[in-house]
Amino acid sequence: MSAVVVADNCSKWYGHVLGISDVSWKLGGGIVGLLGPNGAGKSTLIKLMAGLLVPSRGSLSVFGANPFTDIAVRRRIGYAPEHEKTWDELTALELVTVMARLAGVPGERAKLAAEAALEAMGMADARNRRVQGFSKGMRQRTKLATAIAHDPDFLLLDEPLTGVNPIARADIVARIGALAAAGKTIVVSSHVLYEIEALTSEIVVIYRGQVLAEGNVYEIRKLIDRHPHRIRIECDQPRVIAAALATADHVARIVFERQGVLIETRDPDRCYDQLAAAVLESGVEVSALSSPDNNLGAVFEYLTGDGGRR
Amino acid sequence: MSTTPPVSPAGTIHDLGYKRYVGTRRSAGTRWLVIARNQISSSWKTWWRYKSSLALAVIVTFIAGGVMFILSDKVIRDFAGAAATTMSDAALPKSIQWYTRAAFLVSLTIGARVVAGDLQSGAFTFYFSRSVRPRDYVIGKLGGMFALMAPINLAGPLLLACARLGLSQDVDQLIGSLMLVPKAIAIGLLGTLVFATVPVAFSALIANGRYAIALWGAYYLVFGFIVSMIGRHSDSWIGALDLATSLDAVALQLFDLHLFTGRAGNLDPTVALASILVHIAAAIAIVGYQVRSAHGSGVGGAS
Amino acid sequence: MTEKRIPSTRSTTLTIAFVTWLRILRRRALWVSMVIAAMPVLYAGAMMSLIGSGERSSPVSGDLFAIELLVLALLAPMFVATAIGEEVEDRTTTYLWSRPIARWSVLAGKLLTLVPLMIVLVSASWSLAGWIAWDRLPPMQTYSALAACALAMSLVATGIASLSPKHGMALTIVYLLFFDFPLGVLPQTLREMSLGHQVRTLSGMFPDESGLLSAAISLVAIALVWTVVAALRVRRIEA
Repeated sequence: MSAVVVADNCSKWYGHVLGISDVSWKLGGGIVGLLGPNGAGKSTLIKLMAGLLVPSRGSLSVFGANPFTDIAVRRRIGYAPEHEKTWDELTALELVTVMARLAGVPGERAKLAAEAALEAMGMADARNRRVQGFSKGMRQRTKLATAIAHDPDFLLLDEPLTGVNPIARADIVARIGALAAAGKTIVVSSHVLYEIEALTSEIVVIYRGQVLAEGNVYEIRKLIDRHPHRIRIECDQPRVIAAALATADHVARIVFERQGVLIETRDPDRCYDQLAAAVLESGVEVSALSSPDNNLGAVFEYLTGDGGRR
Repeated sequence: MSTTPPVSPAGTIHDLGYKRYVGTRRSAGTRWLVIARNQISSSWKTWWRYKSSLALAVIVTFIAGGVMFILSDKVIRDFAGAAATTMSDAALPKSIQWYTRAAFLVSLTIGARVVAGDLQSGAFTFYFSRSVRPRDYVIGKLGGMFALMAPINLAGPLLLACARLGLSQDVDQLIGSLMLVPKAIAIGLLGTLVFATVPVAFSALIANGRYAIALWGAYYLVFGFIVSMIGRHSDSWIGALDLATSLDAVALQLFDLHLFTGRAGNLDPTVALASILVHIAAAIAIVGYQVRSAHGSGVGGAS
Repeated sequence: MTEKRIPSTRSTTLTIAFVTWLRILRRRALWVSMVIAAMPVLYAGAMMSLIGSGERSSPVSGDLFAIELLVLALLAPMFVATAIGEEVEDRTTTYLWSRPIARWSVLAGKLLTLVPLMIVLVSASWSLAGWIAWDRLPPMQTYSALAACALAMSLVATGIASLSPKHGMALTIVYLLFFDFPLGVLPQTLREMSLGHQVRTLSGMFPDESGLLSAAISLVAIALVWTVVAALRVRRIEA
C-alpha cells in the first residue's frame, strides 16, 4: 500500500519559533494518535498535512501531492481544527452544508451529506440551531461533521476531545472509531492519552518539533530499556512467586504489595515464561496479572519525561 | 541563642510545585496602572499603530519649529517685516490641526478598539475574574489612551511654545510670549482628552471593534463635516459638534490668530470649548456605564 | 457514497457570496452601514431647510458628492476589510484553505455580495439626498461614478486587508482619507494616482475636471494594482 503521508526532512519555523524540525515520517493508513506536550509541534504537523502551511525546508506530500498547492488532493482531506471559532452566525446545518459544497459536493447533495454527517456526530436534533449558542462539545461535534461531510479518505482531527465532558468524549471516540472501521485514514492529536489508547495503539510522539517515537505503543515500550517493565501479580502466595523469580538475572526488583507482588524486569518475555512455569509448579492461585506501565501514559511519560532521552 | 536550622533526622521531601504568592500586593487604588501600562505596551509593539502617528507629530513639530526658526532670522524679518512675525506666531496654532490629524489616526488604529477589542477577545473575563473593579478598568484604559495621546497632542505644542520663547529677540518679547506655554498646555490637554475619551466611548458602545472604528470615523469625519457646514450656513452653535473645528476654534482664540481661520473662523470659541467639554464628559460617562453594565451582566465574570 | 469532485470556481464563489450575505444579515453591519449612509440625507435635509431648494450648481452639490465619497471610504473598509480580516483573525481560514478551492474565489465571493450591497446603499442615499436637494434624482452618470468608486475602493480594501488582515480596516480608511483624497487636490500628474479624483471626474459634477476616458482608465489601473496585490498575497497566506 502506498503511503498516505510522506514527510521528508520537513521543517517549519514561525520566524524564530520552531514548529517542527527535520521530520521524516511515513503514514501508511489506519488510525494514528499524534501525541506530544503543548507546543511540541502536533498542530503544525497537522496543518502541514492539511495544506495550511508550507514547509520552511524539506517536503511533505499527501497522496503523493503537495497539499498546499494541489487543490485536487485537498478534496480527499477532511480537517477539523483545534480552535472553536467557526461562522457562528450560521446554523449547524448551514455551516456543514456550505463546507460540503466548498469541498466539492454538488449543491443538491450537499445538504443531504451535511444532514448525514450531523446525524453521524449525534447533532441531528441541534442542526437548525445557530453555532454561536453551542456548548464546547456541540462545537466539537459540528467541527467533526464539517470534516466528514464530503466523505474524505484522510481525516485530520486536531484535539477533537478538548473541552468535552467525559460522556461526550466516549461518544466522540466511538464515532471516530467507526470512521476508522469504515476504512478512513485518521490522524488524531490529543492530550487525553487514555482516549487515544481506546482508539488505537499506533502512535507518533512529537517532542520539541521532532518525531521522538512512532509505531505500536507496546513495541515502543519494549524499546525503552531505561525503565524496567513492571508486572503485577495478584495471588494468594506472593512469596512463592517471588522466590521462583528472585534469582533470575533480568529481575531488577521485587516489591511485595497487599494483594500480591510487583516484579520489575528488563526482559518481560522471559519473565512471563518463568512466571508461567512457577505458577504451574507451585500451584499458586493467580487472580490477576497486569502490567501497570505497559500503557500509553507511561510510555509517553518515559519518552518525554527526561528530555526525550531513552 | 543558636540560629542553626533544625535537622530532620528522617530526611525531608521538598515540594517544588506551585506556591501561592505571599509577597506584598499592589494596593487596589493603583491597579488601573497595570491596565494602562498594558495598553501602552501593546500599542507600542507595532510600528504603524502608534509609532507612525507619533512620527507624524514629530515631523509636524520639526516643520513648525523650522518655520519659526527661519522667520526669526533678522534678514528675513527685515525683508518680510510684520508678515514674518505674523507667520511665526501662526505656526504654533496652525500646527494644532496636524497634531489633531495624527491623534485621529491613533484613534482609528487603537482608540476605537480599546473596549470592543477586550469584549471580543474575552479579556473582560480575564480582567474581572481578578480583583479589578470596573472603575479600575475604565481609569486604566482612559489613562492608557491619555498617555498615548499626550506625546502627540500635548508634547508637540508645548515644545513649539518653548521654541518660540527660545527664539525671542529680547527679554521684553520673552516675557510677552511667556503665556504661550500655559496656552499650549491648555489646548494640548483638550486635544489629548478628546482623543483619549471619545473614540473609547464608541468602542464601548459598539462591542465590535471594526464597527466601532467605522462609526467613530463617520462621526468625526462625515458628521463633523456636515454639522460644520450646517453651522457655517446657519451661523449657529451646531458647528461646534464638529470636534476638529471646535479644537481649531479654541486654538485660534487662545493664540489670538485671526488669519487662515478656515471653518473654525465662524465658530464662537466659548461654544466650541463647551462642546469639547460636553463630548469628554459624555464619553467618560458612556465608557463607565457600558463597562459597569457589561460587568454586571456577567460579561466580565464575577467580581 | 458522496460524489467526489473539485468544486468549480463559479460554485465556490457563489457559495462564499451566499455565506457572506447570511453573515451580514445576521450581524449589526447592515444597521451600522445604514446609519453611515443616512448622513448625506441628513445633510441635504438640513441644508435645504436652511437655504432652500437650489440649483444643481449650488455649493451643496459638490459637498453632497464629497460626503458620499466619504461614506464609501468608510463603508468599503467596514464591509470588505472586515470580511477578510475576521476570517484570518478568527482562524476560519483554516476551514477555507483546507478545502479544494482557489483562494482568490473566496475574495471574489465576498466582493460579489459586498460591492452590490454597497452600491445599493450608497445609491439609495444619493437618490434620497439628491431628491431632497434638487427635487429630482441626480444624473445617471453620478450613479455610475459612485458604483465604480464602490468597486475600486472595495478592491483597495481587499488588497490592504490581505496584507494586514487584523488592522486592514483602519489602514484602508487611513489610506483613502489621508493619502488618496489629499492626493486628489495635488497638481496634475500626482492626482492621477488618486481614486477619489478619478471618481469626481467620472461623476461629471465638477466642470473643471475633464477627460472621462483617461479617468476611467486611471481608475481601472489603480483598482487593478490592488487586485493583483490581493491575488498574490492571498495565495501565500498561511493559516
